[in-house]
Amino acid sequence: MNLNRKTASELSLMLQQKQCSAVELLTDTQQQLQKTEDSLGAYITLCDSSLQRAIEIDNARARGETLHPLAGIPLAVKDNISTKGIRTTCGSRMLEHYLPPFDATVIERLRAAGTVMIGKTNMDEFGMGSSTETSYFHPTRNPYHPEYVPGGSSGGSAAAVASGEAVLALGSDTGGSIRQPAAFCGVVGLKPTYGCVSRYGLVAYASSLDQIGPITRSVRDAALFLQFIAGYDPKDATTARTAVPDYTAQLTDSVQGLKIGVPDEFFGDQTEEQVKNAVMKAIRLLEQHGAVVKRVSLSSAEYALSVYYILASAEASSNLARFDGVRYGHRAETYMDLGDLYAQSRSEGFGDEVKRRILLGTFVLSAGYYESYYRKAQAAQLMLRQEFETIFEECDLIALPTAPAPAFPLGKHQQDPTKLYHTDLYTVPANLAGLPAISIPCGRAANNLPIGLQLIGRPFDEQCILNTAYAYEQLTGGFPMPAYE
Amino acid sequence: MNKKIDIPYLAKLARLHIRDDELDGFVQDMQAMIEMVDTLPVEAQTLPPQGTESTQLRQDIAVFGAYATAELMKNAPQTQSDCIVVPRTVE
Repeated sequence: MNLNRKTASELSLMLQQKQCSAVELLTDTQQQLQKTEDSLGAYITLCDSSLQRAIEIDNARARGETLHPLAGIPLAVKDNISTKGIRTTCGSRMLEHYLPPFDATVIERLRAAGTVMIGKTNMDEFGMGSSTETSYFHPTRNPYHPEYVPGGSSGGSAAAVASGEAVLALGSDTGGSIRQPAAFCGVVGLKPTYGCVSRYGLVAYASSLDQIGPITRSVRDAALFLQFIAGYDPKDATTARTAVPDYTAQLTDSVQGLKIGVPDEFFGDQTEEQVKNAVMKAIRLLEQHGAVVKRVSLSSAEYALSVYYILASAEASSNLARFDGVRYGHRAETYMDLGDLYAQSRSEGFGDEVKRRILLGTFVLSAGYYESYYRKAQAAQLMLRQEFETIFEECDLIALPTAPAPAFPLGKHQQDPTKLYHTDLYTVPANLAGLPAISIPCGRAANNLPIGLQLIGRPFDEQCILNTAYAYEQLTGGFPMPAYE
Repeated sequence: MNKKIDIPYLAKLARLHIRDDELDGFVQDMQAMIEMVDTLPVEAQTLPPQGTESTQLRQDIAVFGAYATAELMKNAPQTQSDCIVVPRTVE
C-alpha cells in the first residue's frame, strides 16, 4: 500500500478511520527499511519493542479508547536524545554502550502520545559536524544520491524521513543540524525558538544554542509534531512559561500582506547560482500571492560563523568534561593513575572532530585569550540579535537559503574541517539569536539534489514561519520523496 | 593575528592525549580554526550592559530515590559493593 510514503497527518486519519492499523503501518515502514537501510545507514540502533507498541495501540483503538493523533505513527529519534533502556550513543565510541536510566521529556511526551519508536538515528559525533561523517559507527548517505552526504548533524533522522524508513523524526539543532540535513534530503526541518522545547534529556553540546525539533515530510506534520513536544518543563529552567498555540488549527495558506525581509548578505558570491535562483523563485511565488518582499541588511551575519564556533566550542569543552571514564561511558583498559585514566579514556572515546572542538573551546577560554575571543564573541552575538530585532520591526519573517550549496560528495571536506564549517554559514544566525527557523524544499540542483528555503521568524512566532511554509507547500503541490524501486 | 597554538598545553588542560604522530595535524587544523574565528570586529570588544531578565530557577532540593542504585550503576565501567572503582589516589 506504500503507507510509508504518506505524511503523518494522512496516516493519522487513516488510522482513526481504520483504513490501516498501526501494525500494518509499522510493517510497511520496516519493509522499506529492509530495502534501503543497508545503502543509507540512517540508524545506529533499531528498537525491539516497536511491534509490541504497535499492537498495544491497535488493541487500544479496538477497545474504543480515544487516542492521540500521533498514536501508531512510526518515529525515528536522533541518538543524542535519552531513551530509557535504549542505548543512546551520540554517534560516539564514548557512549557506545550507554543505556540511559530515564527518558528525555520529549520522549516521555511522545511515548504518552502513542508514537511507535523505530530506532535511534545516526549523527555526527556529539552533534559536531555537518555531514554525519564524523559518526563513530558509519556515515549516512543521501537518499537522493548514495555518493553524497545527507547533511548533519541530524543526517540519520533526515535520511530516514526522506526515504520512508520513518514517518517522523526528532533532530536537534545547535548551528543548523535540523535545517541543513532537511534541506539536503528534501524534507521539512524546524528549529523552534530557544526555550520552546525542553532540552531535558538531550545530551548537551552547546547548552545556550541547542534545541530539539521535528523533521517531517510536510509542514502540517511539523506543526502537529511541534504541538506535542513544545511547552514549559519544570526539568528545564530555560523553557518558556508561555501557552503553546494550536499550530495545526491556526495553519493558513494566505500570505496576503505578509512582509518578507530578504537579506542581501545571503545572496552574494558564497551562494551557488542554482541555490540563489531556486530560493528567489520561491520568494517571488509568495510575492505573486500577496506577500510584500523587502530587501534588508543583516551585516553582522558576516561574523556569525566565528561567533558560533567560539561560543559552541567553549560550551562543548565544558559540557564534554563530564566524560572521564569514571561513572559511565568508555573507560580505557590501561592507565597509570586517575589523571591518566581520564585522559586515556577521553582520547580513545572521542573522535578527531570532537577533540578539535574541545581544544578550540579550551583555547578561547584560556588565560590571555578569553577577552579577545569569548567576550568579543558574546558582544558580536548581541549585535546580531539587535540587528534581527531591527529587521523584525518592519518584517514578519526573513527568507534566505538554508545552505550556500546543495549536498556535497562524501569525503569532500574531510581534509579541511574549516571548509565543512562554512556549510553552516546561513543556519547559525538563527541559533545565535535564539529564533525559530524552518527549512522546506524549494527546488532541485542540476544533479537532482534538493535545495532548501529557510524562513526565520520572531521569537515564539513559529506560527508565522509554519504558515508561510504551508502556503508555499500548497502553491507548489507538496514535497515529493525520492524514487525507490 | 598570528598566534602560536600550544597543542600539548591545551590538551593537558582538556585532559586529552595527543600522540606525536597526530600533533602536526592538530596544530594545522587549530591554526586554520583560529584564523577562521579571528575575524570579529574590534568594536565588539566592549560588551554592552546585560539585560535584567533572568532564568527562573527551580528550588535547589535534592531528589532521592528517583532511580534505583543498581540502575544507575549499570553504566559504570567498574563497580564493587555498589561503589564505582577508580585507581588509588592516596598511597
